[in-house]
Amino acid sequence: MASTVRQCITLKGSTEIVAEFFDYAINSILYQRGIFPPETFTHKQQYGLTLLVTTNDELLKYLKTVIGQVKNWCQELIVQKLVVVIKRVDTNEVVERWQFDIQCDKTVNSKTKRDKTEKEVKEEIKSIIRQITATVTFLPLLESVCSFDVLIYTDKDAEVPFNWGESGPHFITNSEEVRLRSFTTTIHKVDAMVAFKKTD
Amino acid sequence: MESPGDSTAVIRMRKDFDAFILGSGSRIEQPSFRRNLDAEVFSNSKSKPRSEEKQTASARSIRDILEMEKRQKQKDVELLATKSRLAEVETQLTATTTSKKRARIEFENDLIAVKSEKERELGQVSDLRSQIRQLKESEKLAKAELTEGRQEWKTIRLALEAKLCSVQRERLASEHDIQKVKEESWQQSMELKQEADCCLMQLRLTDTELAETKEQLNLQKRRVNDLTEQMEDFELLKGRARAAEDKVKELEEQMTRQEEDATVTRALRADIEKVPDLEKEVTRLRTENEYWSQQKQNALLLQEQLISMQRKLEVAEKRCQAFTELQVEHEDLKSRLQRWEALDTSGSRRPQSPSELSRRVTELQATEILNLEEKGQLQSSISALELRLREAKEQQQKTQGELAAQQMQVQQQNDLIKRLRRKLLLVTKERDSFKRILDSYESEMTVQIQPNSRMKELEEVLQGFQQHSADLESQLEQVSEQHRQAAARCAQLEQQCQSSQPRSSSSVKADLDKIGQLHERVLELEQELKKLAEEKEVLEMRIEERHLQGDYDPSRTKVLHFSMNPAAVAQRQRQQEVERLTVENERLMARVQLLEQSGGAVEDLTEQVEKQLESVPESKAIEELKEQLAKEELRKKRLVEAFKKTSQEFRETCYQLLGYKIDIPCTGQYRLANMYSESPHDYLLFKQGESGEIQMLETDFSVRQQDNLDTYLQNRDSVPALLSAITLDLFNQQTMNLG
Repeated sequence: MASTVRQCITLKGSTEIVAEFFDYAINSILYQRGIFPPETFTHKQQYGLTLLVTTNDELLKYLKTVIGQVKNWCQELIVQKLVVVIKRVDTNEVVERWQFDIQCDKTVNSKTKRDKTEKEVKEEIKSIIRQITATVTFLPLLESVCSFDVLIYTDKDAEVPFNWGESGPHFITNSEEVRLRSFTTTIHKVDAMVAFKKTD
Repeated sequence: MESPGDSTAVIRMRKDFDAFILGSGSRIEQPSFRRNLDAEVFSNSKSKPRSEEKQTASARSIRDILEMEKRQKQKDVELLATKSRLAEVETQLTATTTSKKRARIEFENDLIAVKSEKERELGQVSDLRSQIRQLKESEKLAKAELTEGRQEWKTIRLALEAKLCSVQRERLASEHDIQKVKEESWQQSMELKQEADCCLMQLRLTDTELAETKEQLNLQKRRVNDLTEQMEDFELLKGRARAAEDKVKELEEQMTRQEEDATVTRALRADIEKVPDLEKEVTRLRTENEYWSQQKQNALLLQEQLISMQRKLEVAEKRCQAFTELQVEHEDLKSRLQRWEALDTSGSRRPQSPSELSRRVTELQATEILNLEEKGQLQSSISALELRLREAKEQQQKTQGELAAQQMQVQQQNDLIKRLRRKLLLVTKERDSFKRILDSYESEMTVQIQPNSRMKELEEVLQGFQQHSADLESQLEQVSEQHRQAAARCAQLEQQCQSSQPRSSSSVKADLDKIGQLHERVLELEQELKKLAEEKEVLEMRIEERHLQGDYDPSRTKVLHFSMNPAAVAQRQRQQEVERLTVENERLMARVQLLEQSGGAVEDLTEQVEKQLESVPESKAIEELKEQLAKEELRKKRLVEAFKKTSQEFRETCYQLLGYKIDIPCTGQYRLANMYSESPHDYLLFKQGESGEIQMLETDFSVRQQDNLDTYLQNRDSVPALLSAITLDLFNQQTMNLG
């Protein structure tokens, strides 16, 4: 799937891996947190796990657009964070924030090759996805109807594409944070964490 | 219909129409009935064509004739048609007869075929009968065989039944076994189920445990992160500690060396302490020695005296011999003396006799001896004093050397103190800068702008500060060590040179004071450092927390999102839904209201509701207009306020620049009060005429300023000059009063 050449990872391959991870991570979050009804998800084998992937056409279209854009930015090494914000539809209040910090190695160009096998990276990703699944045990139940938004933190000089706009950071007032695992392709390092509204 | 003016056009039209009707009639089998029907249809549905026909009644006769002709023609046509049909039927009849004939022939053929077939079948039947006969025979044979077979079968059956019995018995036994086995298996399965349940329970327990452990793992991981950080700190500290230990070792070595030195010096000091005793002994021995040498000299003297006495004795014996001679001579001389005495009686000063002379000589000799003795004593005392002087000089030189060393030390200490002061100054400056940075940072923390860069700066500064403080500590240790040594030395020197150097002790005391102050200072700084480190830690924690909450640096980062994201879409849908529901709700409310008003029975309910709803927007429009009005009023108010403020400012600046306060008591009049006027009632009054010219009105003040009025207003016609002149006058008056 990703264009890795046996033992090496290139910028392009790393971007593919990261983008793929985001796709599955967002899908998992949406399923686990019940943002979309479970019957709109279908099983898929990936990273040695059975993951749930949406079949909602609109959502698929949206994710394709967003992930495609993230891929571009990953390739340009100007993306800093990807945040999945879950907010209530009625009050617009942010209740959960899944933050993925992306540290790009800015010294990398299209010709650099790094020694790390895809398998190792996928093992790391597997553990993150597992953690995301496990977080359901301690995250508070979402009681009202919620929707989600994907924020992308980029460098200041990034071009704003058509149909995209600047947004606020969507902070959670009175939040609790939990740091999750991270993975690295040696070109992109992704740290995952989740912040959620404290239940009094 | 080429030309509308043609008179034949109407007739042609009719003809066309009739032809059309004819055409249509010829297509219909029963035209009259059809016509009637048509007419009926015309009269029922369309009254207009009928009236048209009435209108065209003038052309009826012609039409009747035409109809008659037409009917005849129709009848002819009908006749022809029936004739043709007759012919058709006849042909059909012939066709049917032929076909019947053909059918009959065919039937006969079939009959023949069937007959032959019957014969064949009869043959077949005979064959079959013979076959049956054969079969009967064979049956008989078969029956015999069957009986045989039956007997065989019976025997076999018996055997088989016996077998069956045994087999059944076996089967029963096996069934029993099976049941047993089943029971066992059931029991086993039950046990296994129980086990499985247990296992499930355990699994669930382990799952929960797993979740707990995962959480704990997370916690532990966080702790591990903390610990690794702490480890790093610890390693840093270790490195520092190692350096410190090395330093301590060095210092210990120095200490041992110094202790050795001290023991050596102590031993030497004991020796030195013995020196004055020895010196004393030496002086004593010297004096003794001298004494003994003197004694020797005396002995020699005595021996010489002895020898001289012996010689004297000889001389005396000689003299005794001469004595007699002398006695003779004496006798002679006596006489002479008597004469001489007699002769010399006047000189009283002279010794009257040689005995007296001799006595005097002895006396002189005694005094000489005494003098000699005194001289000897004095010489010995001189030598002793010289010795002492030398000693004192040596001591003085020593003490001077020590003094010089002491002074050097003091100078070094002074230098050190200066350096420390400089460092202290630096440190205080740094601390101030830290405080400032911290303040700014805190103030910025409230604004939440770039805490990262600030924090980095702060960290760097803090590190620098820590280094400085560490350096300072090490230097302080050195200094304190040196100070301790110097203090010890000072104490020694103080004891030794109390008389010669009373000043050094005071300087040492001053140094001690300074060192004490520095110690305190260092302690203060250390405390401050600790406080800052704590603050730094807190701030780092906060930064971490903020980072986790998704904070970012707006100068370097921007947050983007797809504008058609699901949240926005959901929001919009919700809004639309709400709008729709409110509209619906309004409508239903109106409906309910109407129903309530009319007691449940309303005609055209929906229409009325619509009407009512249409009337609502008017009030809405009024409300909107009211809002706009309020907004406009607010704006007006604000403008007035702004205008007032600016006019106030303008007047204030005018007053300060030109010295006159300008009021408008009534329209067209201007009251000018000078800044330097003595009372507030001194003012000038001007009036603006209709054509814009300025006229001056008389006031008490203007009457008093008649001179200026004459010179500037009457002669030169210049109001500004007059005003300036008045200002100058008043100013001069005031300053004179002040002067």
